[in-house]
Amino acid sequence: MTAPNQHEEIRQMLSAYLDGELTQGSAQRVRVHLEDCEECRRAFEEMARLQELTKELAFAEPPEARMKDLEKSLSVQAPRRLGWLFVLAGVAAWFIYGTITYIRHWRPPTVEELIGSAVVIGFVLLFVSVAVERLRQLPHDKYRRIEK
Amino acid sequence: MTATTTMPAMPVGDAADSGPESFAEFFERGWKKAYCFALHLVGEREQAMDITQEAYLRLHERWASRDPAREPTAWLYSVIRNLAIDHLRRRARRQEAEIDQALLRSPAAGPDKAAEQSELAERLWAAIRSLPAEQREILLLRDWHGLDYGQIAEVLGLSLGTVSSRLHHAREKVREQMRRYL
Ligand SMILES: [Zn+2]
Repeated sequence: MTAPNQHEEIRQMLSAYLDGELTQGSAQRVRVHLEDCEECRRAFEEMARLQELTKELAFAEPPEARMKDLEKSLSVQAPRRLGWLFVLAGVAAWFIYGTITYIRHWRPPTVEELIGSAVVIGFVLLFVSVAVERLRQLPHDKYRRIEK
Repeated sequence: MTATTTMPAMPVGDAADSGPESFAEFFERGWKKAYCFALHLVGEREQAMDITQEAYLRLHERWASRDPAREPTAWLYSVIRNLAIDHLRRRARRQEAEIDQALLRSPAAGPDKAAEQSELAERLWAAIRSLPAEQREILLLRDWHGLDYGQIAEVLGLSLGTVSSRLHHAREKVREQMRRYL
């Protein structure tokens, strides 16, 4: 005969026993107890049946159209993100290099240089505005800040 | 939209010993379950889809630098969970997401047996929905998604002991509500 508190102890372990997550020794104890004790065995069988039923629960499928979006975004957007990252990093590096060179070799600029700079600055501004717009358009930008 | 997502088709978590898998394989075998995980956390289909998409995108970006010996499901689920928590926070809803009874799909119509089964499934889903969010989450991760205790501990940031005891309490609650129908 088993003491009443032993049933309670076994009950606490039934869930992990069901999942095969007990140590060998504990699992053996539960197994032996279940052979003798009808009440605990019934509890275990109910638990196992509920686990089976839970496995079989069927949930709504994700919308088919969005599935296509997801596939597309993985093949297209991931490299694109990376592409933009490289372009932006390149432009930033080029800017820093240009600024340092400019400061180190400063002399009054010629007219040609002033015109050239205006054109370059204009292009850069246009580029940055397009880049910012594109980055905003990337879906789910709102999640960007969270890291894992 | 007639198809349903059920457990046995896509076992999650047993790929570790069959060599490193490609991202495409990993995506293919798990994305529907991943979507359901997000759906159960946020309760809205559109948001769940956004979150699933974003999570895969992040894994994709770091796929090459991951530890190939580790099965990536726990990683994916952690990312989804963080995104979902952030989403709920942004929505400024302190209370947990409401999980719709209608998220459940009835199995394809059949003879009486099927109707009986589907009624049982509805009761079970109602019982699971009535659990506190933290218990519901852990129960679904184990029994529906098929994660083991180690993976669950990693996703939820809990010790193995806490995983085990929380799961035990969740199951006892569900059993209490369901035993007269079994
Ligand atoms: Zn007993």
